[in-house]
Amino acid sequence: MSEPRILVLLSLGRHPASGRPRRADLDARALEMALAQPEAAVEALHVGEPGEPALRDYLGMGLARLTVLAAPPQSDALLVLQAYLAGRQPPDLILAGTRAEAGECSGLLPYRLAEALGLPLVAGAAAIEQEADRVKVIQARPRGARRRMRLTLPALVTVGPAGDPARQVSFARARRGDIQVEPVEVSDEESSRDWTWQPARPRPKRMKSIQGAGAAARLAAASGTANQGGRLLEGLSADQAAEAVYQALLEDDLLPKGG
Amino acid sequence: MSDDPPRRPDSRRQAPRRDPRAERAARRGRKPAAIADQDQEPPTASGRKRKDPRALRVGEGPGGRKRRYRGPAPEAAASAPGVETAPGPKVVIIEEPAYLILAAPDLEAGRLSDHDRDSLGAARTLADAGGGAVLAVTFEACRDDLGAAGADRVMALRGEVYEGYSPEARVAALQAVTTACQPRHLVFPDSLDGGDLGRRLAARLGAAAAGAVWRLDGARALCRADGGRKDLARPTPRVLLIAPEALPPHAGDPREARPVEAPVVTAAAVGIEDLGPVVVDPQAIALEEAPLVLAAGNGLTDWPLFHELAAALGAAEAGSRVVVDKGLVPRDRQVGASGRRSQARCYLALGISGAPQHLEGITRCERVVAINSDPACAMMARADLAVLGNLDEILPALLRLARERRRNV
Repeated sequence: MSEPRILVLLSLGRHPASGRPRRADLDARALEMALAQPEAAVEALHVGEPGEPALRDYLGMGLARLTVLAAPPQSDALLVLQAYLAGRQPPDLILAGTRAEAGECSGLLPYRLAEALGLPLVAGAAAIEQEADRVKVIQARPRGARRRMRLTLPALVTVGPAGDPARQVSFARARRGDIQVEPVEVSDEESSRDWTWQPARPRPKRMKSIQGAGAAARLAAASGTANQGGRLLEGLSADQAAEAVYQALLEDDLLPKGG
Repeated sequence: MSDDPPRRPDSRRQAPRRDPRAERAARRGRKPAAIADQDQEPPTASGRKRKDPRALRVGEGPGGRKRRYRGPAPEAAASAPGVETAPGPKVVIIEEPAYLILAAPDLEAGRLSDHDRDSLGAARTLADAGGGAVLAVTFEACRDDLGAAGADRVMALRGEVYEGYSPEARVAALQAVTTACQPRHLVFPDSLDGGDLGRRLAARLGAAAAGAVWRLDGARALCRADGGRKDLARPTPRVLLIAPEALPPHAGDPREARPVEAPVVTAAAVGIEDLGPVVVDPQAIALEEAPLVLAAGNGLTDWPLFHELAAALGAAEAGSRVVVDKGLVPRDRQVGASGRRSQARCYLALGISGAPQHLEGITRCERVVAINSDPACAMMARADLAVLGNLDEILPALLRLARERRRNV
C-alpha cells in the first residue's frame, strides 16, 4: 500500500475551566498522530455546526480541508457517519479521541462505529507505527505501562491522553483552510428524549470514616496519619533489613525480570 | 407503642399519638432511647431517658476523673468475661434470585481494586432493589474475597484466549454469558480496561450504555457528562460504567460467592495481535502512574547510591519537600500536598520523617515500606513495613541484593 488513507473524526471541544469552544484535546492528539504519519493522506470529518469558529483550530494544525456533515445537535452522529461512509471507499485507518469534551461524553461512538463497520478497535493509543497493510499500536495501560499490538487494516484506533500533545495552531493556516459542508439526512436520537440535564453537582469526596472511636483517632484516620498496623523490624543487620525490603518488593511482583 | 406519653383518661382520640422521636430513631435503624434503657431504668413520666451523671463517671479514670487516652484501643474490654462478643458476620444466601446483575471487575494482578469494589457495590444496589443476585464474571484467579465484596455467584472463565490483552475473546465470552443468563444490568468499572470492555459489549449487544455513572436513584442513573460541567439523569441503561470513588462498596454481610458453570463460548475472530508489554523508563512517566516509587527525604546522604538503586529496582525517583527545596530532586518529582499524589503499588520511603503534608501525598499507595533511623517518626507509624536502621548500611546491601538476584533470575 503506497499511500494509506487516514480518516480522523473531530469533535468540538470546550475548555474545562472557561467553557469556551476550542479544539477537543484528545481529537487534536488524534489529528496530530495522523499528520505525523509519513506519506499518509489525511482526511478529517466533523459532524455538527459548520459555522463554529473553533473548528478552524484544526485547520490551523496543517489540515488543508475539513469536511463537516451539517447536522443539528440532537441528531445521532453515528447514523450520520455511517450514511456518509457507506457511499465511499472505506479509509484504511480511522482515528478519533477516546472521549468527547462536550455533550454526552460517553466515549461510545468509536465502539459503535467499529461494530457497525466490522473493524478491529484499539482504545487509548499512545503511538502508532505504519506497516505495509498493518498498523502497530502502542497502547497506554494502567500505571504507566505500555503494550504493543498489531492490527490488520482497515482498523479503528482511539487516541488517549498519552498520545503526543497537539501542535500549535497557525493563524494563517486556520484562515486559509477550507471547510467543506456536506448536507445530511437527519434522524433524531430517540434514546435521549427522556434525559434531563442539570448543572454538575460537586461529588462528595470519599473519606475513610471510622465509627465509635475518639476524635483524635477520627482525625488521624481522615488525615492518613493513623497507624495502619504495619510491621516494625528492629535490631536487624543491614543484610537482613535489605532482604526484608527486597522480599516485600518481590511479593508485589514489582521488580524487573532478568537483565 | 410503649414509649408513648401517658394518656389522660378522658382522652377521646382513637388514633395512637405519633412519637416523632421514636419514628426518627426507627428510620435510622436504632432502638429508641427510651426502649433501649427500659430494662435498667423505670420509665419516667415523659418516657424519655434520664441520665445519671454520677453513674456515668464511674470507671472513667483513676479517682473517677475523666482522662484522655491516646493509645491503641484496649483489647481486654472486648474479651472480658461477661461482655458478649458480637457474633461473626452471617453469609447471606439468595437461592432463587428474581434477576441477575452481571459485574465484571478488572482484577488487576488478581486483586480487587477499590474501583472494582465500587462497581460490585453498585451491582449490589441494583440487585437489592428487587431481590436480584450479583453474578461476578472473572477472567483470572481472584486473590480477594468476592463474597465480601458483594458477589452472590461467581463465574470463572479461564483459558489461554483470555490472557494478556484480549478484549475480543472476553467480549465474545460475556456475550455468551449474557445470552445464557439474561442479566438485567451489566456493571463495569469505568477504568481503562473495564470501560473498554463495557463499551465493546454495549456496542456488540446494541444496548444502551452510560459512562461515568456516579449515582443511582431508583430507576435513574446520574452520569457526569459535558466534560464534567453537567450531570445527565437518564433511565438506568442496561450497561453501566461506574465512575471511580463515587458509589459506596458493599459494606453489609458477606455473600456466598457460589461458583456457577460457564456457558460454552465459541471462539471469537481475533483482529488484534498482542505483542506484549513494552519496557518503559520509570523516570519518563508521570509520578502518579509509577507502580514503584523510591522516595528520599532529609535522612538520605548518599545521592549517587540513591540513583543507582532506583535504576537497579526499576523504580521512579521522588522526594519530600525538603530535598526538592534543596534542589536534589526535580520539582515535578515532589510527593505531598504541594506536589504529586502517588498511587504506587509500593512506596519505598528512605529517611522521610512523614510530615502530615507528605503523608497526604501517599494516601493512595497500596503498600508503604519505610527505612528510617528514628523509630518514633510518623512515617514509621504509617508504614506497612517499617525497618529501623542506618540507611548508609542498608542501601548498599539492598543494591547488592537487587543486582545479584537480577542476574540470577
